[in-house]
Amino acid sequence: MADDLLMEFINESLEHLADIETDLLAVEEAGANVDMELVNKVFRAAHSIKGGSSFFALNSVKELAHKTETVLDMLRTKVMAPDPEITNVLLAAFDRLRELLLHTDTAGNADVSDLVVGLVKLAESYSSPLNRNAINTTVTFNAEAKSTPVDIPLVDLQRVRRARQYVYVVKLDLVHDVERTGKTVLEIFKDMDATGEVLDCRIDFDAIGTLDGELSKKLPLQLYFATVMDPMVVNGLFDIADEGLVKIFDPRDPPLPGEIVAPTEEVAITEPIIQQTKATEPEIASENEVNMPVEAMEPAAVKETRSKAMIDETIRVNVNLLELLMNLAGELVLGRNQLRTAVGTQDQQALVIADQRVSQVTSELQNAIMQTRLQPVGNVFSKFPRVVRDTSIQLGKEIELEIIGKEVALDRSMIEGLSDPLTHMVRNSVDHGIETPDIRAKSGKPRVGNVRIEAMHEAGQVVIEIGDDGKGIDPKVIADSAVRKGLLSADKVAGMSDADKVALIFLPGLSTAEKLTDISGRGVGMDVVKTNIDRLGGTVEISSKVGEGTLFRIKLPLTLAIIPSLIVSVEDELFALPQINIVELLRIPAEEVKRRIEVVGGAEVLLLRDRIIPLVRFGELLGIAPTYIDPKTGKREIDRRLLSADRRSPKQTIDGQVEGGEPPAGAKSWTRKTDGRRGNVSSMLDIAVLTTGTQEMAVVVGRFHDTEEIVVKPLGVHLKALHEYAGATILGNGTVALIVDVGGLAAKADLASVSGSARAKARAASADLVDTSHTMLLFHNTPDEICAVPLDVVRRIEHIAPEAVETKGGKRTMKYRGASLPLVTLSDAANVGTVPSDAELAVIVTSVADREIGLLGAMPVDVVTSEMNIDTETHRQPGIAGSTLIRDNTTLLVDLFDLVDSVYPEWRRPKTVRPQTIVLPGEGSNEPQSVAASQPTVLLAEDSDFFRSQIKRYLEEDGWKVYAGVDGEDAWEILLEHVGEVNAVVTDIEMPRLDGLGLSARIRKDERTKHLRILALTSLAGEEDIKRGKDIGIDDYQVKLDRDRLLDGLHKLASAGVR
Amino acid sequence: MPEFSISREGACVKVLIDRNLLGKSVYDLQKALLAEIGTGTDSVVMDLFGADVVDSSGIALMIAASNSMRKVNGKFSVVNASDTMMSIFASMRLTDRIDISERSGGTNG
Repeated sequence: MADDLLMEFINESLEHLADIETDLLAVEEAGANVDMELVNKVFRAAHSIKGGSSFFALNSVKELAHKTETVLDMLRTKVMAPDPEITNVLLAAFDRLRELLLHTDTAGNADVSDLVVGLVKLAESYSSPLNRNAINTTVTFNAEAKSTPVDIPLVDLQRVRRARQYVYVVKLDLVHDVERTGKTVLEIFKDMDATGEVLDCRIDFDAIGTLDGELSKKLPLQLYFATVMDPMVVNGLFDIADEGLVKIFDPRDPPLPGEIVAPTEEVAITEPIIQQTKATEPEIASENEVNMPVEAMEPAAVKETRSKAMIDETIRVNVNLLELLMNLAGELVLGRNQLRTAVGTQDQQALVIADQRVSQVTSELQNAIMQTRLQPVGNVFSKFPRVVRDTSIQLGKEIELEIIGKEVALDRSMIEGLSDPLTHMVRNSVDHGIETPDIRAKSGKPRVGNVRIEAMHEAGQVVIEIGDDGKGIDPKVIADSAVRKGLLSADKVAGMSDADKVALIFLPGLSTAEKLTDISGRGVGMDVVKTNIDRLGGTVEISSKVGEGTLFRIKLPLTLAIIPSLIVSVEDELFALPQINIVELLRIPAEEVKRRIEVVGGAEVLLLRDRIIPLVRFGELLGIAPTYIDPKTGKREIDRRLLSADRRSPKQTIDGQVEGGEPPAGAKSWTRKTDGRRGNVSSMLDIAVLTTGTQEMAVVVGRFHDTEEIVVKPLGVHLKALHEYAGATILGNGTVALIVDVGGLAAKADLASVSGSARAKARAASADLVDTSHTMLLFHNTPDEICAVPLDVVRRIEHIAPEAVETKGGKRTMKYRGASLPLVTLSDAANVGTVPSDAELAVIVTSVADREIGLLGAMPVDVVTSEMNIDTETHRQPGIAGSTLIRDNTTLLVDLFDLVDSVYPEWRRPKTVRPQTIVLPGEGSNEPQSVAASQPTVLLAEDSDFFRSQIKRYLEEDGWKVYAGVDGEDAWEILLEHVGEVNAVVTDIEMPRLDGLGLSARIRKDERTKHLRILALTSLAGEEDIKRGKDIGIDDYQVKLDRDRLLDGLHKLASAGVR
Repeated sequence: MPEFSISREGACVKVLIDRNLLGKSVYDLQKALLAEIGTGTDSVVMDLFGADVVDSSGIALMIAASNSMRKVNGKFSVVNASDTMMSIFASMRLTDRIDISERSGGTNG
């Protein structure tokens, strides 16, 4: 007969013993600096063997394990320090235990007295004379009259009292409570050991009575359970009826006969505890709090699980499953033979049959192997009752924990990886989510909070939800904290939805806790949680409602080894998108592209029903060169045109608008964006809407292919730095595809502002700084003179032949789109060289005073974005605003407006501003009053030296008196100094300290300034930005460095009077 | 109709379970065994060869019979338990309390 339960116990015990030798030696080596976690691990091994052996009536094993446990307890309470003698005795005891477990048929009454005596003597030698007696003393308890009494060793009870635990007799019916619930006694032991300690157990056969009485249908199992939990909690936790629980020991009761409670050597154990225990702490603390006050908040069960996870490198597999695997392996061999024969005979039909057979066997094999790795998620959940209980006691909260779906199975490696993140999230719910009973009562909630953990299967994935009915997460508090800590700018946060703000809790370094606690870490946790879940191939979503609670929803693949994926291609390269990250797939017809893809804030977005989703072009992001099939040669060629719109038609601008006229003869035409849009498309777009859990993005791919279950292969060391890939796989047709890490992809695209990685933080930070850099178009005047113009003012770039330039009447022109385009060069106004006649010419087309004009320069041209220190003095002269170093070359910054004014003074814009009567609000009333005529004055807020000097000059040339501040805060101070003078405010949006939106809001709130007109200058002029600005009170938006529009806009505002 | 039969060889009582050990038959068997033990019995052997199922009351009967025999320094044993029964008896550690032997030929029941 196979005694399965006994075999399970033996196997588990041998697993516990497997590393004991190494662990004990490590403990000895550490000496006085004993590694408490390691000692605890060894103690738990002895304890677990003791518990099981009492159930299996392996009395010698139980006796030896108990004495070993006693010595180990003295080690972990630092009554004794590890030394070779102690290690030898313990090693001998564990060796004997291993031997006994391998021969259980004789182990019940084997002679272990020599080792027991050795262990007792060792324990006695470290005990005071008074306490020595306790080592050999037992206390007899009798749960009920009919029962056989049970003896509990006094040392165990001393340990229990020290840990302020109660001892209960838990009475279960082996038939109804164990056998019929599908549990095993060993599982019950494990559950109880996670929240306390099973001191002893017995089946009370005597309670059944004899044939002359009424037969009890119950077979009572009595567990002597030490725990800090109240009876009600124990009842609820283990689903025990009231009459099934009897308290037999209370730590507050008077000492038992022969028990030493406080003085003598016990002081040595408890002194540090007393010092560490605060008066405000609950009366009853857990054992681990007592022994390890510094890291006391972590229950032993948690540490145990972690330690076990670290060492547990073997799994036990059901023999039936192994047999199934063997059978399938045999089937596979048969299939292979069939395949070989079919290939050899070139029999197509036989090939098809062999293929089907191999496919079927492979699927079955995959499923069977998967099963060997699957473990119930309850293995992780089992520690949460203790976690919640300990944490709630410490915080003075009342919390009911609900666990659902323990049986849901997950890959073993996932279970191990989930342990820490889930623990952190549960602790967060208890610590930050659930309110104290009084606060809950005041809010009309039940005093007892609820934390719910549920695992379920959903669409081939495992979903784990951790929810609480606590105070929820206030998006404003999170957003303010992110801004205060400098993680994001106020401007960026202002545009976020509440859901996005809540998701900021995953940002590294964000903690909103008013008081740091030991419970949930120190604000470094949730980003790690997200990183760990990302690493497991999962996603985490969060939804929260202030006052009602928070729900975290984790989605995980069943296994890390095989993941269902969608195969996509970009050009000739294949990629696998994990299905867990795919929200939906779209195919947008060409005629809808313009309607569905917009540009907001300089970046493309996809309009999907009522959502706006950032759009990423996969090929561009990964630097895959676009190609086309040359119709003449039929060969695939690299498309060297710069922008996607150019691939469609040289006549069409980036906006999709058809330009009039033809490009000049010999000219290759590049069209340039006129409103900041980055690109457009010519045909149907395949778009995958992906999610990282907290961030959605639309990814334009080349083509969708099939879905496949792919086997994940790790990337080589040389590719590890590419965070946008999670691995690689070999597809069914033998080609290699890279597996996309969606979180990494979002970070690469600067979208992952709420990603848990440090990388994302750096990117988020750099995204915040973008306004301090400039994007410039570089060209050459002479080969040695490199010039730059802000890209924002460039409409197009034309590559022309020298003969296309005509010079008549001292003015240069060229034919352009059916008209004559005036051309200027820098040397027309500035003291610089002339463009060589043999140079490859480039014409930079721009607009000044509502006329198109071309700036003539030489190739090559380039676009750079970088931070620049601009010198506005050294090279300043007509047509040149200043200079800067770009790629170690001194680069002249062309002032196009100034240059054109010099060459075409007749185009110069007349001053629009004249001294006028200024209307201000009446003092002490809202009625306006007139004041004396004076020079109109504008306050300019701009952090970029270059832009500030340029704009200031434009304004001054137009007749404005200008006060300029280097940021919003500076501008506000200047405004308050000159509040009576200033008529209007021109402000940049993105600035340090106080941004344009903040400045505008402050102006609108202050009685002294709220009447002022405000014009915002920004490159961020998307509809959303404009709406946000207007909501705050900005009157007009203009794109930076468009002098004419700026001045027109300002003139209109001035004409309109005060607000 | 009784689902068991009792025979005696000297001080040894043999109980042959014909069908299942559950419900009312347990009550009947309890009374019958009690009567036998009261008449100078030093061992009782329960043969489960014909039994397919033993319920909680059947298990309780086995333990009670074992307890009764212990009281008189007698012996109670079970023979011919099926694989399934053995597995249940083992998981409840009845095998530590009662001498139980498995059915030869391994018939499941």
